[in-house]
Parts: sequence; C-alpha cells; structure tokens
Amino acid sequence: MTDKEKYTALMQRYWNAETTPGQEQELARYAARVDDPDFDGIRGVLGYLSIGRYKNNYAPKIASTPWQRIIGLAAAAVLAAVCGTFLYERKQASNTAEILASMESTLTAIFSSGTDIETELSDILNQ
Amino acid sequence: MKQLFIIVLVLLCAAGRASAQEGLFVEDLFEGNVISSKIMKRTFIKGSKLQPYGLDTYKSLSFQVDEAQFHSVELLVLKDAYEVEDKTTEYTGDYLTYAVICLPQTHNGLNRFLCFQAKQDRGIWDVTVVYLRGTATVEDLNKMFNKR
Repeated sequence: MTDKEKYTALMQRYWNAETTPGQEQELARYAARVDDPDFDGIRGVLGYLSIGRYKNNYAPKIASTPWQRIIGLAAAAVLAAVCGTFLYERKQASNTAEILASMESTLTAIFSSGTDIETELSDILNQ
Repeated sequence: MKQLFIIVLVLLCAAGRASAQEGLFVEDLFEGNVISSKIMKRTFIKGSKLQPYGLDTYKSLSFQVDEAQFHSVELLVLKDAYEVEDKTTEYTGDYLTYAVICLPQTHNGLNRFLCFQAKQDRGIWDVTVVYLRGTATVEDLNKMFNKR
C-alpha cells in the first residue's frame, strides 16, 4: 500500500469522523508535505483547524498584574459612580422642576385671588 | 465635663428649635402638631433653587379638614396676623378665607410672609397655608404671581 493509498483511506475516515487527533495530525502533516490536488480539500480544512489550535494554544496571553486589576476595578467603579450621579441629578432636576411648578401654581392661586384693591377703590370713587 | 456636655446639647437643641419655629404660631401646624401630617400635602423648598423668585424658603401645606379643625388652623393664622399692620385679610361670613400677612423681618433683614387660603364645600374646608422668606417684597410677589 502506497503512502497515497494509506492517506486517502485515512482521509476517508476523517470525513466520516472516525479518526483520532493523532491520526488527524498525521494526515495534516502528509497533506502539507505533498503537492497532490487530491489532498487540497483536507489540506485546507486541517490547515485552518491547525492554525486555530496554534493560536489558541500558543498566542501570548495578556497577563494582568494585581495593580492593573485594581486600576481596572477602580476605573469601573468611577465610571459607575459618574453614570449614577448623572442619572440621579437628572432625576433630581426633573423632581425640582415639578416641585417649582407646583410652588408657582400655589402662589399664583394665592396672589391672583383676594380682592383687587385698585379695582374696588376705583369702583367706589366712580360711584 | 458631663454637665458642660449636657448644657451644650440643650443649647444646640434650643437653637435648632428657635430657628425652626421662627416665632410663629403656625409653626406648630407645619410641624404636624395641629393636623395630622398624614392628611397634609407638604412642600418644603430651601436654597438656591428659589433665587429667581427672590426667596430662600418656601413651605406650603394643603389639606382638607372639617369645621372644628379649620377653626384651630384659622386661630393660629389670626394669632400670627394679630400684631402685624401690613396684611390683607378677607372673611366669608365669620370665617377667615384669605390672608397675606407681611411678618416682621428676620434679624438679618429677610422678608417673611404667611399666606392663607380656604374654601368650604359642604362642610369640608380646603385649606392652603404658605410660608415664604426671602428678599422679595409683597410687590415683587404680586408682580411674579398675580396673573389677573
């Protein structure tokens, strides 16, 4: 059995999802090594998967120091406080506007009622 | 030391009470001692929000009461109005139904006003009592709020 026959059979098993990870690696290495158009499909799939695995396993991880974590938490807390204050002040402003409107309405009711002295005096003087 | 602490505490309480009462009979009403505060709509505003109106304190109460309770409120207003010369009062029959009383100024020269308005409907009195303090005069208040 030639290599090509062996790896064609393995490729068939791969498409049937019957291969082990070790066999997949072996197949990928073979597909990368030969310049055979029959293995183009498997080369593309396994190459794509192996790049993904490489990135997943070997990509540098961003390690954060305790200080960075503290600064991050502090920044999040400050952001939350700023947003909270903004929302609270907006609510307060709307409450204040309502209260002032109620005050104006009450004072208008008071100062617009009662006897109009000028009218009353002019009525008396005109009689 | 303990006695000194008690004296200071008593003085602080007295000062707080004096500033809250401002020497008015209606202060009892504002403190909820005459009419239950549960049936009163109370609005208290203090500070810079009132600056555009020339005021620094606004307190208002509105409530509905029967005739007996109305008389107790009316009496407090009349007591505060008694020695004041600058006031406008109106009666409907024997009942005080409207008053704008220019109270004596505070020690730091602020004007004070007590306003009262009452309407009766089938034995129930609809009462509004307002206390104002600030630099505004009664003419200023009339200009701002008299829409007639």
